[in-house]
Amino acid sequence: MLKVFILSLWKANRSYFDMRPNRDKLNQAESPFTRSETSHRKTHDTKIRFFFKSSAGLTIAILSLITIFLFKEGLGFFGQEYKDLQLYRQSGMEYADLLQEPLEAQANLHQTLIEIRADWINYLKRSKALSPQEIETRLRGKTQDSLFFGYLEATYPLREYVHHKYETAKGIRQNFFPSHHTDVTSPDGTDYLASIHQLTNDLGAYEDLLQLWAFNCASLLVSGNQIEWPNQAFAERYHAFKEAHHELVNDLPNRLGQITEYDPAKPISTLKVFTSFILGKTWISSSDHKDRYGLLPLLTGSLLIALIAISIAIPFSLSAAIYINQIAGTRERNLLKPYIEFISAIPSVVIGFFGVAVFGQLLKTVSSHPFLEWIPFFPIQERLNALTAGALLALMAIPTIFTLAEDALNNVPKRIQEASYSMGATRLQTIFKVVLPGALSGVISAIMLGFGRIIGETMVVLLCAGNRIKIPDFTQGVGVVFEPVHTMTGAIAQEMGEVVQGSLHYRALFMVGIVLFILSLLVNYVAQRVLKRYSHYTQ
Amino acid sequence: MIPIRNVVAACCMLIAYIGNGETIVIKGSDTLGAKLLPLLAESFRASHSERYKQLSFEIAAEGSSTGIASIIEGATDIGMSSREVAPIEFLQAEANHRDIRQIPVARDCLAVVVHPSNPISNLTRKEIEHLFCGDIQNWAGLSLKSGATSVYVRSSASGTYSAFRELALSGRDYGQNSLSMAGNEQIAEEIANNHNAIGYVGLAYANRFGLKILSVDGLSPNHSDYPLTRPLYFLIDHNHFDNPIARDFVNFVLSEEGQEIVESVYFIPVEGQSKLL
Repeated sequence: MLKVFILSLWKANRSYFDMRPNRDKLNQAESPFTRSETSHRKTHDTKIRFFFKSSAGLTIAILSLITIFLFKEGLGFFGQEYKDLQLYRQSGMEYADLLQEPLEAQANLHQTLIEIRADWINYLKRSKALSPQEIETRLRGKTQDSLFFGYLEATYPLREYVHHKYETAKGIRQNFFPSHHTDVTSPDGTDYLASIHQLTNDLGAYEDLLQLWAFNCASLLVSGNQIEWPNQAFAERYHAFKEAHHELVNDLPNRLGQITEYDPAKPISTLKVFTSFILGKTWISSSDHKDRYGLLPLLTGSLLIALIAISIAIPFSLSAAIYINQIAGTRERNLLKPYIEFISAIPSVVIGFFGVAVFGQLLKTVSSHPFLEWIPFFPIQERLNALTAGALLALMAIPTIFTLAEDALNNVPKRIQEASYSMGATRLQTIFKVVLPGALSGVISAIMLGFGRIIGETMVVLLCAGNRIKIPDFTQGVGVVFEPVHTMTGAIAQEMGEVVQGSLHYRALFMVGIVLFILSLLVNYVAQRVLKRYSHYTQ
Repeated sequence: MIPIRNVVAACCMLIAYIGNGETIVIKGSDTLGAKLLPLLAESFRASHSERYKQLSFEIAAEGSSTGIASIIEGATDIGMSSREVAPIEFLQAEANHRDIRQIPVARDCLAVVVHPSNPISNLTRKEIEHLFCGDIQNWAGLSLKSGATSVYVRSSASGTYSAFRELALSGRDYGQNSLSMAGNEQIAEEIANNHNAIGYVGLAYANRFGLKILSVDGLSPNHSDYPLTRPLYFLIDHNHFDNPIARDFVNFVLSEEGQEIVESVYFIPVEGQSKLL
């Protein structure tokens, strides 16, 4: 099968090469040389042509092999994920996760409550400039403590219960699916059914615990009404928190309904297998409960860093290209151009090391300067974040974009520029209205290629981006650039060493590789189309 | 063009060098491989210099899971792990006809560390679970300090990652807001530079950089009942353990001399297991 494919590629390329005019016949007709000399030159020519053909063919063959290997290893992911989801459902882990969901919703509410407390502390520190002891007397009282700490403690009985269910599900997985991931058949022994029954039959106890929790929280919130908030804003936030809590409590019957619908024998829908990867929001490998391989955190991290990098790189590289090509004199040009192109010679791991050791710390120190306190989101908390990685990637992309853009600007014919000058345009007018539009296709193509380079960069993002596998919080607005993120390339580099060949994690990494491959292919394709379609002068 | 005889001569020298030199390949845990193993390797080389003239150690410390994966595939003489080998991994090894043995060579305390300016000095197990699993994402949920927590953990290849999850988080997954760093050194450096940071490192790394070590349930890591201790293992494939240097090295590590070096880097020596092989 493979051989047929390669042979067909080879044949197709051979016919393409043979479309050039046959020079041997021409030479034979007109040449003053003797027959033996021409035939000697003909075989020499043929040998060279064959060498070039076979080199090109070999390159194409290797490329196709890599592509085929990538897709073969990666697409096996869906079959294995199906089996993993089947195991997840049949062992009862899914049931335990369903029980866990209300707790996660409660944790989000707890988060808003703690933020109220944090802002209260900040308010007392900044506007009232109170000492730590005074803050303590204000903030730690019986009502305050019972609200802020009690809200989490009220969930402890529920957490115990859910933890116990997780342990039971793990036991079921260990006993009835010992070689999990490799061969999952639906066991129908009475032992298995009894274990599942033991797992799922005391939902009544869970409901009781939920009722108890709701009751305890209600009394906590009532006591929270007695807290003297420092100003109206805080009181309103507390009110909003109470509303959200009541919404959660009212939604509980809905959730309980979903839990009762759990059925270990229900088949997994194929759509779920695909969406668990493409639309998955978490990436957790080597988990005790269930490995989750969701693409979104990695994809959004990569795109965020690429966006930051390209928005820093474009102004710098285009300005440099315009300056070098249009404005600078010969001496300056001969000095600056090789110097900028030299940046591309620096190895990426050196730049990454520079980012970790110097640049991240520099950004953090600059942002903590009291002079700059007024800028929102300053001081930066983590020195390894998307901005650090993005700035360094911009540094790496600038020579790429600069070289190609400068070439594109160079290709605008001199006569067009001279015509513009002869009409009385100033230099700047010529640049922005004549030269740049003329070179636009080349410039856009250069930007896309720089973008492609940025997306594929590994070492810098692995060392400098912070590696937090979570979709960045875009509700923060511009502050999202100061968040640590993880990228597709970084995840592959970080986790490739630990995977066993053929395991689900291995195939998940190959799937991420396929997404990267398709993304780069798309970027390159668009760059080529733009170049072809909008080039007026280079045809 | 380079004359062909020079090329042939260079090839011969290379083969001779490779042929005569003895190598031992050790892959796996960063906790063992970053500090302890180089010291052990130096000491072993010094004490066995008459027997092994050109001994070279190939040490790759990228995480316990890489060590276990290498032993399963037969790519290393000795694997290092800072966590137990999971049942599924034992099955994978059996499928490859490898019989993995875990040999404890040291014990390690996992210290929970924060920036020196943090007023907290003790955490209960529950609070550690809340912090690392993302239930509490702001220091105001625990104390009077306010600020979003920056939780530094190891990458999923690390045995320390799994060991901490078992010991302190009772098997729950880490929170989504944790930052995965490559090694103990990197975690220690990041925490030293971040006022709101918390993370865990092996005790050997906590004593540098001036990090503040928290006590867990009132017990400090020096206490004998400190809950977050775990054994560090050498992994060998009993079916294919042919390299005599590897055998001597393991015996050396388990001997008194080796255990003294273990103690010197703040690990806890194992007792009563010398000359296991």
